[in-house]
Amino acid sequence: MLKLSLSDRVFRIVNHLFLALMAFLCILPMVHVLAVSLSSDYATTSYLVKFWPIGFNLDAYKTALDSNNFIVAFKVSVLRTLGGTLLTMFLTMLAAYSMSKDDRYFKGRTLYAWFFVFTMLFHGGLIPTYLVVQKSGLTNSIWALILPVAVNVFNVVLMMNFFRGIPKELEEASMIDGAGHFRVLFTIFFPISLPSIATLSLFTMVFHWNSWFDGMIYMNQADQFPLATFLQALIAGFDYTKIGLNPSDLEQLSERSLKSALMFIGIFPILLVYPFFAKVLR
Amino acid sequence: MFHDPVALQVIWNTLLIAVLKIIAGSIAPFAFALLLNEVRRMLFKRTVQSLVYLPHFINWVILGGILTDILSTNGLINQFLGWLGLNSIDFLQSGNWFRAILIISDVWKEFGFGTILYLAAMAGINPNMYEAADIDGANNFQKAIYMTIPAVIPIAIVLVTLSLGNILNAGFDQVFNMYNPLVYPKGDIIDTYVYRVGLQQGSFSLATAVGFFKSVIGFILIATTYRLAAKYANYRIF
Amino acid sequence: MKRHRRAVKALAGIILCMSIIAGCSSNNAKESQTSEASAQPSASASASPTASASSTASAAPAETQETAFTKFDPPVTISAAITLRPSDKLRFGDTTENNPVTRWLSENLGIVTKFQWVVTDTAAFETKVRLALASGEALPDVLYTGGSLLEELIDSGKIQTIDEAYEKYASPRLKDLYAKNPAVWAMAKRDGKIIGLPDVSNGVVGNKVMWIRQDWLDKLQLKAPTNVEEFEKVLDAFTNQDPDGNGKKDTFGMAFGANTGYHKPTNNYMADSEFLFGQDQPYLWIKGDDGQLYYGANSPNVKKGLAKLNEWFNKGYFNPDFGTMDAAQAMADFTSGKAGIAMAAGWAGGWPIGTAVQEAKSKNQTLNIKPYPIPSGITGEVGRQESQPSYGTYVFRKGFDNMEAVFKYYDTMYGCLIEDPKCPFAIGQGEGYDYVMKDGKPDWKDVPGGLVSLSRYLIFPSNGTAPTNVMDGPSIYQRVAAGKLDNVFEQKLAASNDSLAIEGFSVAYQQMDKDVKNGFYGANTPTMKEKWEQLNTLEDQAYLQIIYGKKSLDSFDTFLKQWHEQGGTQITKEINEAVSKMK
Repeated sequence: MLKLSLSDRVFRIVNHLFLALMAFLCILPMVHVLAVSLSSDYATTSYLVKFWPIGFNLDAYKTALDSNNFIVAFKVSVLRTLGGTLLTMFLTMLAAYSMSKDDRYFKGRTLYAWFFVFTMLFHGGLIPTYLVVQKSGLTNSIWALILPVAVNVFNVVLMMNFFRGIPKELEEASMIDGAGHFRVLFTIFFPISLPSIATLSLFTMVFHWNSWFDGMIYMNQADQFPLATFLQALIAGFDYTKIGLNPSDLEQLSERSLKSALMFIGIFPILLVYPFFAKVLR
Repeated sequence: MFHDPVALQVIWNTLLIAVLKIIAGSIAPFAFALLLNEVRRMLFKRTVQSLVYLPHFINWVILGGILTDILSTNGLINQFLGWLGLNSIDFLQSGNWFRAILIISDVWKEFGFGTILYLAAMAGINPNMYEAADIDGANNFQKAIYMTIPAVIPIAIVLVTLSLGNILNAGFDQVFNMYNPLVYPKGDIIDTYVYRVGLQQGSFSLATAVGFFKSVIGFILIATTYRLAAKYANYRIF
Repeated sequence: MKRHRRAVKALAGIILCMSIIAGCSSNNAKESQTSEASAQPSASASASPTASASSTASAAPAETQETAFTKFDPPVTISAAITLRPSDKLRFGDTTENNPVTRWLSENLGIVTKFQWVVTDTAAFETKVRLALASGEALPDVLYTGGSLLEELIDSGKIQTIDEAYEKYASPRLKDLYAKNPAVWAMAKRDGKIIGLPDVSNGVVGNKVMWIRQDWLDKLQLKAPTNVEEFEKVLDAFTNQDPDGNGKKDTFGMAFGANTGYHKPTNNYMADSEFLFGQDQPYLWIKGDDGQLYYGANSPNVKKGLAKLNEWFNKGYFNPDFGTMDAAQAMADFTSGKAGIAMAAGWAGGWPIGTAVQEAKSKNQTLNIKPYPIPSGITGEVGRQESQPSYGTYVFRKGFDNMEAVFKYYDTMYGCLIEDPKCPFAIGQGEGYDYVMKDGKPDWKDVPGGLVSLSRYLIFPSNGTAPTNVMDGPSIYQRVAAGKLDNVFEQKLAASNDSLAIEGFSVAYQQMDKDVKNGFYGANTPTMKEKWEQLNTLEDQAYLQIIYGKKSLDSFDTFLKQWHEQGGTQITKEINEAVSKMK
């Protein structure tokens, strides 16, 4: 690189500092959660823990990982995340590809677009949605966690825009060579849009991993709950109006370390997966 | 629902907070992505990128607790102000400060999402164009303004438009975990209000009606923006 | 494991119902069993001995069983919902439907337990019920619920009335329980028909006692306060006289948190100020001299209480951030040594106070905290909110035919609460879970892997203390606190609970006659559904503004006027009407 001017240098330094500061601020709460999860009961109850564990112990993690329910739920979550993401990305790509074509080429495209956007904004409400899933016989099966959420219009719109940015000449050239739509999609569009596909895949995976409500309403047996459903019940705080109704509710209050540990465990897989995506994004 | 004097106040709060969040929440990731894009060291860039996405994962239950602690009368922020010789501010008890905190903390939590999207879009820009610009003698600033930004504008428009659909969603989780009766006049939003009323009524009906109402408004806004963009910029958002 | 023990101790503390045996109740049980044997519909007339329990690792203590249990044959299945948490662990290959307690039930009573719904918490349970009602899904046989969900279930028509079943199958001692606690029927009777079985609490579930730093009192040579003037002196001393001896003015008099997550800034389940209002408790529906109920805020003494709190705020007697602190955060002030007094229920002796004391012990420091009866309030009278007489009702779906089995189940578990020696779980629910046998004697402390309660696998609870009004003499907590350890229940209580918690509950019982009763526990009236939220917000803001000093004391009168105008008067009328209908 050629020599940098002074203003460039200053900018670079300030920029780096600023970015580093922001990144640091972003990581602080995670550090706090981790510290709480590794601290003793007393320290957490008295809200003494800031960024470093007090009374270091691994009890919370031991308790969390030791239970059958946890491991099964973990597996369910992994299954739905991987399966759901694959299915979603496949369907999204198909939809985005079609939608990215021009109006003249694909008649009625705008109609479909409005249709999709409409569904993004208007929901049937909890009970009709539940009824649809139930009557389709999907309850108590993992498909209830994958199918109803398989197509996310937000993602379709984003990917559609990415696809539109691809030069038409590429497509036309390969079609002259005799490629059909599927070929074009998978051999040309896919590689070029890899950064955006990777991004959307990541978002989808995060969505699946953190989805807890669908697990709660569609599943009836403990071995079918995704991890997030269990965690939500613990983390979501305490309904004071019901004290005395269920003694185990009080237990929840007293187990901040356990809550934090569970939260951290819930996030950990995402943290692991993220660097791989970051590679693709570059 | 409408003949309740509180309801109007609540709707106004929601609009104000949501709009400010949309504005700040659109600018922040955009600006941040631009800055981050300037970084040449891959390791640093990737690290920062990963880290800024982290707050997104933390539940508002936890975050609310942390913020309440930091912003308390003897908390970290006020201690810091004390160092600088300033008076302590009661952040969570004054309506105006509460709104500011809501917006700032929400942007902080979610800007990572937009940043990643913008960076992905910037990654799609052909590097040859940058080299050509270098040869022409453009400096970094000019490159950013004339090349990077235009390439990313389409995505920005999409994101902003879609986020308009949320104009009445000022963030139930966040407000619920941080508010208290003293800030209701300025901080109570539609969803928290409906939640409390719903508890008394013991049914879903008000929530469903309000949900429908919000969707209608959101739809109108998106449709309008689409029309405007199509007409004046000849750009079809979808 | 230490963590679980803490939790179990706290658990045991607030578990509902337990009673001390009066000599006669064991005879009652015997009578009811034999009379039921003849009333068996399809069951065999012979009583099966319970010795079969020894073949599994179940808890039936051999020595106290007489042939008092009649078994249903063919077995009866009862389905219910269960709340499970990820950290719930079963051992020895047991499952939710096959573990010591369910095995005991099926072998001795012929009752098979099935969990039709598994949910993760109460909120999930409520959503599930609503979805099932809306979609026509079958409900489990038994559901335990309360509040608006109960109303929805009743309105759905899917719940049966159980008047006949109650007459026919309820044992004499169960009937006695309900006869002595008529207030609970308000929850369970609609149009004169019984729609479910309310549980009856032990009366001290959440009743407050005053927890004080005894070491600070001793250091400053003070005694525990018994009225507001003395209380203020102690507050002043704790705030200004450096009781922790570190030379810094960093302590408060009392722990107080007003952000309860829902309404009621002055009343919380821990660290609140309800004692100050004595017999004039805000938030309750109190019977006036004219026999009608009025809303607590209408009493002129409430204003005085708020004025006092404002005074204390100005003097720095409690944390200036109290408005944003919830109960747990406020108690943290107490357990970390920043505050010297905290109002909390007996179970707080286990958690969080017990935790803090253990911690200090492990560091070879002493943290000397003692529970005391609460001082009298602003009018010179002692008063605190009563615990609810019942926290929920068991309802049964229409079409479920085995009410007899249900009553048998209930009666057997009830025996455990009133210290019937024939209780199958007297020693514990499952060996290897909440006790182990050592040299022929039960040990409740050193269970390998930690203590695990099996209560959630039971439909009717067996852990807990006696409901109100059924047993004579001092409560089990008071007996154990005084050192009596004669029967196995007392021994178990002493061993599995934190001694501070036992002391705390024991103190709580002392002031039970001063508990202020809430005159209305029913469902929200029509105007309440519309306006109650608004009125509550009005009230919260008024109280907080006054305590903070942001508004003058006279603003209270303005609030009261607005409260009445915006629906309060109408609601008071409706409540009184509803109550007169319930008689």
